[in-house]
Amino acid sequence: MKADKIMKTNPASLWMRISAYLIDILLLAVVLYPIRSLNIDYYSSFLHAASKSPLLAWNLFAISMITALIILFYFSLLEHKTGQTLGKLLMKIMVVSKNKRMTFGDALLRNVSKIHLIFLLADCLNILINRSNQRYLEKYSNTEVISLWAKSKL
Amino acid sequence: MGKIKTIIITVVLLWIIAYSVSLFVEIPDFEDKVAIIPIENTITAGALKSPVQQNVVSSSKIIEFIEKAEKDSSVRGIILAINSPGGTVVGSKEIADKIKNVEKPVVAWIREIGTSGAYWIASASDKIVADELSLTGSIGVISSYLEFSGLLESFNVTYESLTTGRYKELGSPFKELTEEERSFLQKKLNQIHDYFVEEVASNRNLKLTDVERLATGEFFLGKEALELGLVDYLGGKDLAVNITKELAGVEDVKIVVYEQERGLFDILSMLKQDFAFGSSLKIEAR
Repeated sequence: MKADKIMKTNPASLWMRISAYLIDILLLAVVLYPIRSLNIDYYSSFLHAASKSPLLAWNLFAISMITALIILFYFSLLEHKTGQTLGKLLMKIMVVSKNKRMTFGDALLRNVSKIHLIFLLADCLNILINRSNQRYLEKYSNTEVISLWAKSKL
Repeated sequence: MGKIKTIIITVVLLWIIAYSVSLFVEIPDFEDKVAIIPIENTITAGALKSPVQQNVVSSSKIIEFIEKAEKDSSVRGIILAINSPGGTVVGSKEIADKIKNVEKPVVAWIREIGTSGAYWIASASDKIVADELSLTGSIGVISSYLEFSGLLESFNVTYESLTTGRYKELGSPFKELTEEERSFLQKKLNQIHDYFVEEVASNRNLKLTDVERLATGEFFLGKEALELGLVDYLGGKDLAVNITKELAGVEDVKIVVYEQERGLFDILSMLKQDFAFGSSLKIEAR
């Protein structure tokens, strides 16, 4: 498989991946604008809301869950279908599976940490600690991000 | 191109979901608020009469605003920004009754004028703030209408009417009041006047005899009203906000003003009101 060959030889650089992620975050900011315009402060307000009204706390919880699902589905659906999100497409990087084909479950697993920055940073510790090209969840889902710039060099 | 199409479809679908969620879920502002409800112009119990007649305020609308402020848990207190000479008896009473049942602190802030029915409303609040030059008081009832019988006579027009009750024609603009009718009407006004005085005395914790003494229809400047016990403080908006904050036990608040928005539907419904018929006799606390 051509992708396998590229993956073995040319994993995407960290800066390419960060740039792609920032582009995706900007796009998601637009997608989530209607929800964000509800003026929600997820941390302080949730605790405050719980003390004020259970219904309000429930609404905040539901909105937090929906926001997380939208983020999760954006990355998982697109990576499952095309191997790329908008950010990855623009940065010419791609997600590939070490298995024959990346399932939707694999895509969900590798992206589940993206629902919150703290989870994502924890997930990225593998890159810093083990000098690996994979986050922890990428390791468990048998997926990796490769650079498509390498195509011309091969 | 296939990939871009997939990305666009996914993004649009996710945006639609986010937008739909924002339409159905309401997250109230968590900031503590004080709601200012303006009560301006003549108070009436009904809807506005005409789109161009901007000088009346409906008691139903004011009550709707009070209920909205009551339901909003972030609203910690209500300020009634009064600038009204009064209005109909029932319209004023409806608002005053509503205020008495509000659990949140209510402060009346009398601006230029808060007399008669508007003062009745203010008296139902927990505290009253007025400017030293505001006009207030004027506790009394008035009933008036135009009477055209002389005009008809000068044009040699005769007014004929058949009625079954002795007082059925009371207030008709086409005939003069008889002594009996005048006495009947005065008796009713006195009853309303007594009720008004009792309400003010009870709301303000004043002696009934003291309020009766003041209830001559005379208006008082804010400074005089303070000495007579008709208002609690002399000041303006800032003082009203500070007193509300103190009564509510909060320090920082956001001020929100509840004002009536008029759309095309409101204008059309007001036009419809112009074609309604009714008695010309009005009894007002103003």
